[in-house]
Amino acid sequence: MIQVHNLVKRYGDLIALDHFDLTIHKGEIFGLLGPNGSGKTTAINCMLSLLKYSKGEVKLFGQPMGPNRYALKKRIGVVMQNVAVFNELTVIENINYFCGLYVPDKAKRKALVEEAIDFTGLGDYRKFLPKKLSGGLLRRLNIACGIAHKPELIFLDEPTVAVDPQSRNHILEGIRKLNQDGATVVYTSHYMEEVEQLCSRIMIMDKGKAVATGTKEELKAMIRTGEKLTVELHALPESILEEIRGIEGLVQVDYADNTLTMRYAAGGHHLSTVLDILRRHDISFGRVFSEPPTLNDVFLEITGTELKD
Amino acid sequence: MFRNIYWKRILRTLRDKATLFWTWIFPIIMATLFYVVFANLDVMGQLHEIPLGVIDTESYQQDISLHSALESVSDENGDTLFTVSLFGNTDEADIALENGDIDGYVLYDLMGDDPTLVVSDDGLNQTLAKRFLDGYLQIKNSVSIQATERLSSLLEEETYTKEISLSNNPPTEKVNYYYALLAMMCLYGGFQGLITVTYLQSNLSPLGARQAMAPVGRMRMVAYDLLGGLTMHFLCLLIAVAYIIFVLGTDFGSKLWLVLLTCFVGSVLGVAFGAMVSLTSKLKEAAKVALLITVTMVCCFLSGLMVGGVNYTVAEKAPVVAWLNPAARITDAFYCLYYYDTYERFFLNIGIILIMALAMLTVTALFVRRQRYDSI
Amino acid sequence: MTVFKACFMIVKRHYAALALYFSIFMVLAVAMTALSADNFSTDFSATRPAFTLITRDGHTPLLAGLASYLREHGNEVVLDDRTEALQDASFYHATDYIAIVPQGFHDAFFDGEPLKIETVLTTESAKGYYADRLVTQYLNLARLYQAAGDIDEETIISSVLKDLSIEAPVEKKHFGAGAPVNEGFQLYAQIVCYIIIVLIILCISNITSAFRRPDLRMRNLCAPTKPRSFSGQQILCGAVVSIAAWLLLMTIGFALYGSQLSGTDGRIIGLILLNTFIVTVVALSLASLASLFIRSPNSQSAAANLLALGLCFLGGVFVPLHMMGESILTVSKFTPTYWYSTALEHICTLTSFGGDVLAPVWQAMLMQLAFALAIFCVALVISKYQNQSERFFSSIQTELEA
Repeated sequence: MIQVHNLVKRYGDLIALDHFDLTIHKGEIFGLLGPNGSGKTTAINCMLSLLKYSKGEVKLFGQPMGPNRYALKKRIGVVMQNVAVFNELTVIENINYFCGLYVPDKAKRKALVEEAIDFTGLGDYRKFLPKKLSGGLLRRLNIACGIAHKPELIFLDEPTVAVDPQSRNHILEGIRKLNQDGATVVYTSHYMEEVEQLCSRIMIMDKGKAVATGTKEELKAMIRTGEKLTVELHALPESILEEIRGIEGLVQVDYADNTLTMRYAAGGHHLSTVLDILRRHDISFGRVFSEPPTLNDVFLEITGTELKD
Repeated sequence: MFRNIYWKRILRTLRDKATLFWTWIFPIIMATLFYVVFANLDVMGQLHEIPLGVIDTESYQQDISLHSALESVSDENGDTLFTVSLFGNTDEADIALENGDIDGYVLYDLMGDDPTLVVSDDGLNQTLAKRFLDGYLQIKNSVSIQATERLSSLLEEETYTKEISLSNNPPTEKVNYYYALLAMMCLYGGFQGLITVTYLQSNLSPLGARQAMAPVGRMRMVAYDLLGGLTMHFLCLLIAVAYIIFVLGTDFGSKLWLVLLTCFVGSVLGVAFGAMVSLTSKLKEAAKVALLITVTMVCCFLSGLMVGGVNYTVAEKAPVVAWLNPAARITDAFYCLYYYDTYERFFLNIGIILIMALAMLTVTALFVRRQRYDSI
Repeated sequence: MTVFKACFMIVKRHYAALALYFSIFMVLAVAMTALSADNFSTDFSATRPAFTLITRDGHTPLLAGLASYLREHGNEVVLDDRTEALQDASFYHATDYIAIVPQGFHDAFFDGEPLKIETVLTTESAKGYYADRLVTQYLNLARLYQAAGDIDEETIISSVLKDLSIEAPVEKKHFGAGAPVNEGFQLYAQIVCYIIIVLIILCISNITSAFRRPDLRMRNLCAPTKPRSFSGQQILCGAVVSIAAWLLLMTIGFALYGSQLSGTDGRIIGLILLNTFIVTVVALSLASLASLFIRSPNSQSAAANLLALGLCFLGGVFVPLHMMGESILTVSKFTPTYWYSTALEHICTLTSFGGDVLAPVWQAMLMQLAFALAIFCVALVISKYQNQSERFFSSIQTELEA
């Protein structure tokens, strides 16, 4: 569906995309994950031929993409990072306008517009001007304008920034449904939970490079660390801490603020070993948490920095 | 496709209250203000009766020729130049002069010297009073050389001149203000051009980026959208012209169709100008609007919107500036229609406006064709 | 004083827009200085009309004499003998008087059957009339000498010109203490009214619309400051800004025209300053009323320009009152700017300072103050009503959102 090969994009001295490669298959929800400024939006804009790039090639639907490839553009839907709707047009007029750029037939368009309104749950706001919509509703309108013409390939660039949880769930639900209806989705976000929930395949980007690609299981399997264990306890003598550190398979052990934090190596399972040591020394402990590794951990290990802002 | 883009553009224009105000309402308010304050503009430089005092001395009483000469120009029935009032002494006359009741007074010296004019200010009325006394003294002098008895008949001059009119329509200062105002409105079409390009260029707005992804040719989109903007702008000029002609009763001459043609060509130029200005991504939108307004205002000043007659002075002193000033060309086209009997200069103006518009549209087209940018 | 300081910061942030208006005004003021050539002198100087002499009869001593006589009393504007050139010049008042001497004029004149000189005057133009009198006088005298006997043309002309050099003596009386107010300064004082209104409305509405943003207002209402203190400090800041604007504009005025004011009576200048100060107060009241209705930057510039232009046009600031029609003047009396220009006009023609003479000046100033007071009261009532009604909480926009 999408093949990007060796894409290089420079802004002056800054290299925004550094020999970027990407392949997306039909029917996927593909997530581009990375901190702000990692090149997600640049990558998408290059794929869409909105930006010039210094080197590389982009193929959509197996054909090279260019600004005049209208046949390709017709099959693409775009939802930009910034809300891009006309302030002077109402909800329904906006959707109708953007849909009209793709679907000239009036009757057909009407049905599509209605479908998009239902889909985004904007039914009660048909006649509203964008100014009157709340942030979440505005984002939904932004999405409705991008997908009303039922594209086969949809680019969604951070569609959930600054959106209330309810609207966010609505949006994510919708994206899943679009995908079930046969659309391929390219999704960027810096909310890893979202990407983790939604995407069938994920690419982690940093500094214009693809640092890892795969399903979330594959990604998590790539790294050394596995589950993370947290134990609340009041006091922990240094000797016992040392003993715990001695357990084989524990990658990292920290004790601070009455909390003991440990990471296992991938695939390991050492909860009982740790608790046995504590019991043996008569150290009472409070709550115990065990978390599976997150994409943040993946990112942290690969790039050495936190993904979170 | 055409209808979708075109009508949505018209709808958007109608809902954009700020632009609507500046391009539709503001000029109409300005026109009304012009109408209100320039009501007496053409009467300003006209000749009014000059209040003149004369000190009623013996010398004055004895000089019958001056007497009769004064009477002949302050005749109640015919052309009245002066309204003469007599004063017993100079003190009374001074008070009248200070209060502005009279523009000056004639003091006929008791010594029998020439009559003196006493004024408190410079001005045309005073000059005319002096002219009268000059003329009287000059004729008196010539006649004294020749035959004194013919003096009084000579003071009633023969006419050597006759007034002609150069045009079918009377010259009037007022109309040029309206013409310059319409030129300003035409150039305000720049707002429409600005909106089109800003919302269609992917490097200028998110909306532009979204629209750049539509499977429609760039030129077609820009052209349809510009056409929508142009339609609305021309409509606004139609309303303004109708208002100025039918409500305010200003004379545009008899060639109404050509007036409308001028409005249309002017709108095209304005829209093209705005489209060209908004191409750059270096300036923020507010800066572009400021640039549009500033250029429009400077052009309009040079075409006589603020101070009447500036356009004539510029045309005399710096003809190149005048010919390159779009507002001056539009104003001049209206003027030609009103005042000239021939059409050469009118069509020359229209031609120049069209060439400018075409040049700007070409530049716009060249830039709009580019669709991929280094950064957006 | 936190609010007061915040107000100043807001004004500072908008300096670009204010500077734009300010510079436009300065250009206007300087242009007007250049246009108003004011040369006060104790001697009388006659008005010189602009004339154009088009000769289709070749060069004859008769016409050469006429041209030299006209040049002595007027300013010649040389034009091509093309209809369009003549039309342009007369339409735009480049010349007051065009005299077209027809072919055969010279011969016909001396044959005793003079041809008429064709003249073009702007409708009933007084200057044109004056120029026409000059031409008539010249030809009249020439006829006189020609009829007197068989003298050759050259002699006739020289005698005529000699006679024409006779002038009546003119005495120019001067009333009052000092020199009259410089025309440029008077114009400046007149139009300064416009910029005062625009600047103050923009400043005040910037301040108030920032504070009237619903979220900010709700936040402010939670602060332990009394609402009265909030509005009080805003008004105080507005007043300080207004006075600063007034001081600045007056300083510029004196910088531009100070040298021409040395001969003028200090009391007149004082009254002019007082008058501009009063109009500043009026502008402040207008601004406080207008800012109640200003909800977005767009409506802000629209309101400022409309109010200022409307009031200044109607009130005789841009166009002298005597140029307006009677019916309009009746309406004008209901604008404070009318009383501003009336007061200024009275002040500038003052020649003494007796109670009677000053009465119209005081009256015009009091009228302005009454307007200011009335507008303030209306603003107060409306703001009270707005504070009570909830709908004013919404739909206020500032440039931060736009």
